[in-house]
Amino acid sequence: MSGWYLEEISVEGFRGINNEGDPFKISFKPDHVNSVSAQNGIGKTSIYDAVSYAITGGIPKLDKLPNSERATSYYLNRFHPASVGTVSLSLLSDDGATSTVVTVQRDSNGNRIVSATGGVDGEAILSDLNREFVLLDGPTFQDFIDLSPQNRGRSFSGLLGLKRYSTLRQSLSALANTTTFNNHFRVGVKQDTLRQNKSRAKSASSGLREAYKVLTDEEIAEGQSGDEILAKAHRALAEIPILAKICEGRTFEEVDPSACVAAAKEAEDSKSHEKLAALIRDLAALQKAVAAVPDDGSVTKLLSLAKDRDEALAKTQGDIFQQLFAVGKSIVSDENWHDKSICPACDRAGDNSLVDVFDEKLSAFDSVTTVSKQLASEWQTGSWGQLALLENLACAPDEVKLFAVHERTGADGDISETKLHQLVEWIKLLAERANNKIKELSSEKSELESKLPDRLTVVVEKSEAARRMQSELFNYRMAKEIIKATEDELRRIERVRVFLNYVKDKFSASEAKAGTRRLAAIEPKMREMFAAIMFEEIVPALTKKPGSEELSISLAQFWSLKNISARAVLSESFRNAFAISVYLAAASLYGGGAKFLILDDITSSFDSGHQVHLMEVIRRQFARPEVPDGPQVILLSHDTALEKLFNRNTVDHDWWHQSISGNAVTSLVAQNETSDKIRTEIMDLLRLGKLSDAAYRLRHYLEFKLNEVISKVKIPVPVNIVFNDDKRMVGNLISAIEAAVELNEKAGQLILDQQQRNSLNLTVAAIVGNFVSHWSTGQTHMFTAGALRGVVVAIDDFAKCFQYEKPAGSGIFEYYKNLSSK
Amino acid sequence: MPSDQTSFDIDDELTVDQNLESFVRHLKVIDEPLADCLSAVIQNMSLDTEELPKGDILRDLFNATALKDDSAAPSGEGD
Repeated sequence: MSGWYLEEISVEGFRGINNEGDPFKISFKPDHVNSVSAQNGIGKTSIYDAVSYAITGGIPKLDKLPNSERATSYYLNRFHPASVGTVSLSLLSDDGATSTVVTVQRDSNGNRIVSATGGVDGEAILSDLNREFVLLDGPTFQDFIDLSPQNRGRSFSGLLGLKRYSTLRQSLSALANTTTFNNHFRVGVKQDTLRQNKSRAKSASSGLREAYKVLTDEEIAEGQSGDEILAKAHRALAEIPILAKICEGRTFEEVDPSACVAAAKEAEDSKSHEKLAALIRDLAALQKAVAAVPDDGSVTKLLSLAKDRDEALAKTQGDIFQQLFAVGKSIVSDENWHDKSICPACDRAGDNSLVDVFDEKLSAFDSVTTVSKQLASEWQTGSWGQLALLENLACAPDEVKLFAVHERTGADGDISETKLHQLVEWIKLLAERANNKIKELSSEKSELESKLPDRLTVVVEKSEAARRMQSELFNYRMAKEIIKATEDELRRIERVRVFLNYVKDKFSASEAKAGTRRLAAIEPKMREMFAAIMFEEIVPALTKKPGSEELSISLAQFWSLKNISARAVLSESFRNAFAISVYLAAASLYGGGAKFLILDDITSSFDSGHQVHLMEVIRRQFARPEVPDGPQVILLSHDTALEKLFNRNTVDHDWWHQSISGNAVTSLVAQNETSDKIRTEIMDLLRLGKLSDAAYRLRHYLEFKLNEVISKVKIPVPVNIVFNDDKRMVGNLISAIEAAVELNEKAGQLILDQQQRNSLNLTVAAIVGNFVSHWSTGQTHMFTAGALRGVVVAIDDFAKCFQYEKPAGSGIFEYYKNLSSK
Repeated sequence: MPSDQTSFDIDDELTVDQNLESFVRHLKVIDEPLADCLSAVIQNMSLDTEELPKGDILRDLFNATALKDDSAAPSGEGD
């Protein structure tokens, strides 16, 4: 089993179908072309909408309405008292082994409940049925032509049976999208963290080395291990007699430098030592701040980059223009913008393609981004981010902290040359102040040291060096720990990124190949169908851009011209024929779980001749039973000329036609299997005195009975009968039947007995005299309830003229096989 | 960058689900832990039913890198 045929639709309380307590039911034959006729406003499209809701969960034309129109409140029939809509689809598996009824209910709150008989999964079946070509109407075909190439391509992937692949590709693209990906993993923040901590580690390492030198009077040797460094630092402290006790039993990091300074204070003048210790701390901080000032090379480079960025920015004309150029390029690049030198804004033509102009303009924005990145990188490399300490130490309380103001724009690479100049001058000023302060403090320190005993001065100095070493060691380790964790995280993120990009690219390439392959298969069939509908020297073409979703439509041949825009030259009927051919070709090659199609008023733009051609294509080249593997087709139409064609086709055994009547307030009735119901309804309306409504249904009842006789007894009908005027249709059918009876009678082979022959004349006279003659001339005021009741009886008697009791005495009547045999 | 050691193409003779299974098998050669993680959601990703839980999928993929991360080498101290 690979799919489902549709055997019956049952609807109550949905859209234009009320049918309170007595659902509207219409059945279909899987091995026939099915057609349903109804005049405008009867509810034919409500059937289409009901199936749309059942299968897709929505009704596109309602869902597109603005919220203010409360479209969802129009799903249910407004006259149905229960405010619940029910749609049931009776389905038959294509191997004939399984039947099920999938029922979908919707309440006034929009809740949807799906159930199915036979223990099958109703939702799964509906999902299987949800293919692009199952429900087709005029707007679908118009959209196909009018959509942008990209949206058409997306829609087309569903037709090719690639919808799930397309959805997966889009999902993978969304996952791998650089912005989404980086935002999710906060890659920018992590990279900033990494840069900051590398800079911190470098700074801490430098401070550590300086402090080590002060403490041990030695440089850290190349390859010296961390343990050796700490051991030597510890020894340097412990060897000072007054600190030996403090260091005893402790590692270097456990030694308290404050206790060391306190020990020195105890041994000497504490106030002077406190001051000396403070001077040493302040000096160390200032020296560290001055050491972070970028060198001249970095200043020159950064200024040059800021200048380049300003120049690149000046060429861009700002964000609004960036948007303008992008939109302009999109318009001019479109396949339908034939003259690429015409400006979409002013309609003036230039000498060259505007695509190149837009590309050049947009490239200026790329230059800004590139230079900004270089600027940000130099900011980081040149330690510009470390200047906060200098500013904090050298800025007067009433001054604006210019570095703090520009720090963010500098780090982002967005700082202008002017502002950078100001910042450079400010840094120079701060550095000068810091150096002056260093001189001042150094002098103060020397003076103080000269007053203190050498030994104790050294103790304080080494204690402070130990404090700084401990602090820098802590900073270094913390930074390294963060660096390791962040690098590890970024490495894992990169692994996910590389994997996702591979998955996306690999799948996209495969889907594109499948799309190209399937498109190549569809095109010849599409052209064959188009030619059979339109019979003109026009050849439609479909083109898929390699590596893109875009699907372009064109005309490979338009009379003597080649490669012409389809949208520019085709009239509405040709456009529809183009789209119909594409959809039918796709459905015939790549159909899925739905083995049926419902086509709602798809011939509106066609004249009668092309309508017939289209019906012939559907019947001979596309649908069951003529094409055994083809789908079951269900045509809905309001077109009276087409209805006559349907009626005529019913004479053959591969076509099943029905008509419906009623309205949204009362109920709809299908006239095939429920002709008794119509008869009852006619009688009820006559009883209520509603002659006009009764006459309308009587005409359907009569048409149905006449068609039944023609179909069952195989009475030949002239071809031109299908194009005759609506009101003369009934008379023509009666004439055809009478002519066939007379022909068989003259040949001496008429199967009707004499009583039936006489009754035929009488009933025809009653039907024509009391109904057809008034109906065909529009004199409906001539009707009376009694006369119309008589017409109903005459219609029944008319049909009985072509039936016989089988077996005799059983009370069961069957139609003759034909007019000459049982 | 993963090496493309096996090939994958959509096979028109197979169903969508069978092709997706084949794709996952191909991905397992590229990066098995991540392919295992993606295989749990790839069917749903092909159905246009609800908004894709991108955050959850990315988080799960990231967590899957911790299961067996051969490429991750410890970084030593020192500058």
